[in-house]
Amino acid sequence: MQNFESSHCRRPAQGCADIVFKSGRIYTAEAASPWVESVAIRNGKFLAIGSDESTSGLIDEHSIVIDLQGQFAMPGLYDMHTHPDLALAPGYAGYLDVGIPDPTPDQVRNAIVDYATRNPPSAQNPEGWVYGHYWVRFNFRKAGIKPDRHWLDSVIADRPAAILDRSWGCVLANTKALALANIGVNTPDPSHGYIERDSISGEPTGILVDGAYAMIHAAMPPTPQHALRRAYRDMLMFQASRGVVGSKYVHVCEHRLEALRSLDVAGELTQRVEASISWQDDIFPVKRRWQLLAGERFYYASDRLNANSVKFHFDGTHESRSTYLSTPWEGETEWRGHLNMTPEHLRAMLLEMDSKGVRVIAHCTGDGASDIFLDAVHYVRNKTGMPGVRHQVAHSTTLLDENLPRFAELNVTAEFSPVGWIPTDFAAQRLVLGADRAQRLYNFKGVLDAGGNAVMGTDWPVTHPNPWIGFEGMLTRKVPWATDDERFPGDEICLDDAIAVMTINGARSMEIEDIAGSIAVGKSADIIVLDRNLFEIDHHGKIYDTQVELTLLEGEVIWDSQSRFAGTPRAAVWSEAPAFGYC
Amino acid sequence: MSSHTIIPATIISGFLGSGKTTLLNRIMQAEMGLRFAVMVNDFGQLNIDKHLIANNDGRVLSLANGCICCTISDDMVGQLEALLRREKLPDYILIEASGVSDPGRIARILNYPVFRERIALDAVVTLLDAGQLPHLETEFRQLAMTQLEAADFVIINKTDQCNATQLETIRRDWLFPDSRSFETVRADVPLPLILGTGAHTPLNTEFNDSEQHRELFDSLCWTWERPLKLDVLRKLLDELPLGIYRAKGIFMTQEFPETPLVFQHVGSRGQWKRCEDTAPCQESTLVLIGRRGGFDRDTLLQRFHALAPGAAQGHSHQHTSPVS
Repeated sequence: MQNFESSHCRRPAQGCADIVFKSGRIYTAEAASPWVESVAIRNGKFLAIGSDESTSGLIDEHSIVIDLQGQFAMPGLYDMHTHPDLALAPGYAGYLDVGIPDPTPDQVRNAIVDYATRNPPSAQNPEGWVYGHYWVRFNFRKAGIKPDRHWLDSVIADRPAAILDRSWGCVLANTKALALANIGVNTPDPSHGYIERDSISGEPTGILVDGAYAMIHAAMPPTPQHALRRAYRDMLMFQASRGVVGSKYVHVCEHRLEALRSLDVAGELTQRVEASISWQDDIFPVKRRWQLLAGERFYYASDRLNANSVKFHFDGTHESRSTYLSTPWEGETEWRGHLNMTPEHLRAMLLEMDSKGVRVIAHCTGDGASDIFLDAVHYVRNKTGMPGVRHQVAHSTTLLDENLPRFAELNVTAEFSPVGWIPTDFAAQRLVLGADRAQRLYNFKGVLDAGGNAVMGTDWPVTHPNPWIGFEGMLTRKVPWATDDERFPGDEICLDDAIAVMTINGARSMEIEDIAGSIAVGKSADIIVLDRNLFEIDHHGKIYDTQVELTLLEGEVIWDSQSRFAGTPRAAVWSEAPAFGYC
Repeated sequence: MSSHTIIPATIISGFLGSGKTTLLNRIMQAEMGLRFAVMVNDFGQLNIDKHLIANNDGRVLSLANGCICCTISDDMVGQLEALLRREKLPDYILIEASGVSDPGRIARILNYPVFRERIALDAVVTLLDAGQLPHLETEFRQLAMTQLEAADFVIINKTDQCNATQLETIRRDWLFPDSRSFETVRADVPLPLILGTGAHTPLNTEFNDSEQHRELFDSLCWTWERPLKLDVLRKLLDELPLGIYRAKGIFMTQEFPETPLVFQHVGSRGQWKRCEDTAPCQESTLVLIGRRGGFDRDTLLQRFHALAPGAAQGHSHQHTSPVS
């Protein structure tokens, strides 16, 4: 049913509520009235909020009234940087899995032949690529067989084939696959990887190491649509069960957008999703990037989905010491890290994107990279004025103190991800950025105190997709399940601020803060009901495993673990959720 | 031939307790006159004379003899880049892979374009604990397979902790048809054989090792005075007998009359390189080092001779009488 509102076609402002929550402890994230007892929802929006008494008059026979009996509720959460497709889709793609613990070369051969027979070339895979895992070099050496393209050609020569080895350090490709990927004697090596070659003739042997197998991926058909769709769908179910109502699915291409659109059309896009188009081909090729940015992105748009956003890697990572710092790395006299784009290139790109209304999300792990990015935003604001598009510094592992006020001044969001502000071994690796930067790692407080918009992202699969772990971590800087008192360097923030980071600030970073992100009359009815009152419990070890009993987006029940809406016309969209590991 | 800026590297792999540190300490104390850069899991395990420590900033330990030690990190790429930016470059890099890691991963990183012009992987040495090996559970079995599949040399260590039958089973289950292996107690291997210290270039076959080790090895040197056929030569060198542990040669071939080809064989791995910037030479030379009695010299000599009949000459010697 289409019943849109416009200037002269208003839905009745009055009338009775579709849903009323009463007798709750409802935190609104609105400074003027942070706590209410009841909310009434009609046509997907909050119709009234206040005491039980104030909403009682809005109940009629069609209203569903839920007595919260003192339970805690709050606005839904926002995960502002995550990658469900990268985490899940390869596993769902139906690639070859030899499926034997230590396969011999003959077993690998049989598995390839069997897979190829069962998976003939198709419309989605016209060349009939055979791709998967794995072979074991030990068993090849034991059998005295050299694992090279000649061996793989002897198994399958008329279709391209590429098989990963068990340690996932290299892929073995046959001659046909090398040809389709344009890998030959004169093909240059990628920087972080190489094409193994005959050292006299320079002919590729068929072994492609690390970064070199991106060349095979670029030649293969894109990740199958069914795998992308399933990956996003599983994530939407999971996030609904954790109370997430808004996400940025960072790095998409036309195929990923199509998968999201098909879920949207099916009524299964149970969040507002900002899908950020990859500006570079460094994760997967985006063949229609320029068409998307020229306007094709609107084909995918709805009130739940938009692709008015690009994401790019401005600097690198601490693992490869390519995080771009404001001063040389520790122990170095000159090396500051690596930028993938010059400041001039960035300014031109940012100006163009800003004028199109496209948000630029810039991966900046180092304080030198974000300094240059903020300079570029400053340049754009000088040219075209404030407020412009609210751009986003992604990761923000370390920021210069001098830049903290610039997030507010320049209308830029500081996004902190992955969840590296708790002292796990994984987070401890960030300490290589140096002792004087340790206190400033993931500086939520610094940005918030300076009036800036701070948000968080799980950056799944880099850290777990459950947003409650990072949420608790902001309050404690401790590992939730740790029994010791070890803290990660840097400042905690208070619960009100952490809730803002998880809710209204997320909406602000999506520029939907006028319609969502907090509980206020006229705003989208996005609300979650929890099994505990966050204001009445210890923080450490008590918040990360919060159970979300109800999640509503635009008044639509998307998660209902206690079956409160079961049997009503408003039964939840999802009735189960995948676990994705320990949380 | 290799430019002097290329630094050889050896990766030492094996489970915790397999003898990696023992071997490292043996190398460090052999007084080879080399400035080593040693990347280890924990440099507290090394027997370093405190008086030798010139500087210790917690990450890098500098010794008075020019050696440095650092703790290996997850950031191998960054660590190697930093190492190569040092003012005083080491003569040799020793990398101790963690007991639970894949040494092949480190070997692959050394082959990245950014490193391979600066660092040459000489060998991956994998130690096996003969007492422990028969009792490995699935997960560790797979890890041992991973560590062995990358190995150029295999050291079956602690052979005093198993009997002859067990040792035979280990050889059968864990060695490859082309494995070059040592069987040791306390990782006592002839160091010049497992380290590419340049002791076996065609011009220098001198050994700097204990008498005891020297008697165990033979070398064989051969020269040809006319260009060879590359495919026949490659086939011959692909099939070097198991008793040959190292080989190095420089060849003039019919296929590349203007470009000398260098061949280096370490353990079970042979490598070729075209020396574009080296002037053609008059003759081809090959030096082989192997276990005494581990290969049939006459058969090899016949095959060498057959490569260029009438124009070859050679000599062989034992290390007690080095080539003059």
